Amino acid sequence: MSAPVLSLQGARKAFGDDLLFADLSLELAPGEHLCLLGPSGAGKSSLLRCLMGLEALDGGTLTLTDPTAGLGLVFQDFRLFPHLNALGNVTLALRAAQGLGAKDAEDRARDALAQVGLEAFAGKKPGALSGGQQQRVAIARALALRPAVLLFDEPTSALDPERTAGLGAVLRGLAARGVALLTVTHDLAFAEHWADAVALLREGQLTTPLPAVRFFGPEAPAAVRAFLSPSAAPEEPSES
Amino acid sequence: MLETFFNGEVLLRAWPLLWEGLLLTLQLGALSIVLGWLGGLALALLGLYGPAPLRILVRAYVDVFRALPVLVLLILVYYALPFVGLSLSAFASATLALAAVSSAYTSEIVRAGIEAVPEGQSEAGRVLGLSFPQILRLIVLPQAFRLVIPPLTGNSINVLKDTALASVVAMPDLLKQATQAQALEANPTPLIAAAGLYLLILLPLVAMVRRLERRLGRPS
Repeated sequence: MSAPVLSLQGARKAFGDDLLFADLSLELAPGEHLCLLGPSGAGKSSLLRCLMGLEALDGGTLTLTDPTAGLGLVFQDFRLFPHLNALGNVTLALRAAQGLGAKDAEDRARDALAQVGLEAFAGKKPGALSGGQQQRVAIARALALRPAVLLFDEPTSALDPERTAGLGAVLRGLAARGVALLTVTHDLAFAEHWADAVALLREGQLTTPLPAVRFFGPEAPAAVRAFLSPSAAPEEPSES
Repeated sequence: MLETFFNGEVLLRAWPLLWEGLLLTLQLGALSIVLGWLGGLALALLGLYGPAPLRILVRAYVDVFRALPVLVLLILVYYALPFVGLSLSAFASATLALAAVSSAYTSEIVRAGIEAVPEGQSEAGRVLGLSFPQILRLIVLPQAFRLVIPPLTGNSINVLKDTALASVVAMPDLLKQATQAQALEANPTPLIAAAGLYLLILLPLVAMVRRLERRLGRPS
């Protein structure tokens, strides 16, 4: 495994008295797709928000190997800007945050839209796009900033099985170009099929990431098997 | 009956006066409306994002100027301010009073519009690396403005109507000119004509607000 692009060591996060995790560590290699599973309320989405800087960590260190290539986040509800068309959604930060000229920003935005197969929809407003297309615009919007790591919060929650496979293929394409992916999901089948490694976040503990075959296999750690077979642990229903 | 209320000769003689009054009414209205927008936007931003003492001051300003009748404010500005050495013309007094009140209402409208834009939109901007002013200017305000166009237009209609109050401080606006012409001619036709002119300007605006509201009620 090559040197990690992202390294989180000893992270701690609590909301008041509610401790989400106390000593959480995580590394991502370039082009690696790691899926995080876990029951609702385990702090998966909060972890993404902490990595993104939307919430402050209460402790621990986050290190990015290349400080010029940051992190991108694709929200569960996409959060496209409804007053701008797809191209405008992607160029906005290129121009405002990265200071690109109009021409450069548009070229790069069209390139990002092409990577998610939406070059023909550049002029459409989010309201005129399907849920799956909106998600791809959101991916292109994050991708255009050339992040080292892309974070996904429940990316399959609004997708039917066919679109889920389409998304998996898009993510695989990104990973092939060296973007590290961290996906938080309830979708076991998605994790099993599309992730390089899978880990479980539960009761503040993150299990060691395992290749999907092993994570879902009979040799998985007891905590993982208990999570995956609700019958063995009826107090923790999985929500796939 | 026609002779009394719709006298053509009287109207013809009074027309230059009415026309002057109409132009002045429109000038006063336009200036007050634009100043009210600018003031209201500034107040809304200060009230939402300013430091705590300023937020309290904004709150107080908005409440006071929404509670105070425009006419009372206008008379205070025109007749009371000279006692502290500030003499404003009738036009300036009317502009000040109308804009002061309009900015209080506009600020509440804009604040509601900004608050109606989901917080997630700002977060999406932060995640993309935009600064707070950029998020406001490029993401929040464009969406908020879309929402507030109907109530803002409605408020502007009120300002335009309230310009008639300026006749009280002897500003020769449309209403003042009409009452003067009526006194000269001893005939109410100029007043009827003035009412007609107000309707001619304001009815289309009222209809526009209704249309905008209906369109906004529907998903785009």
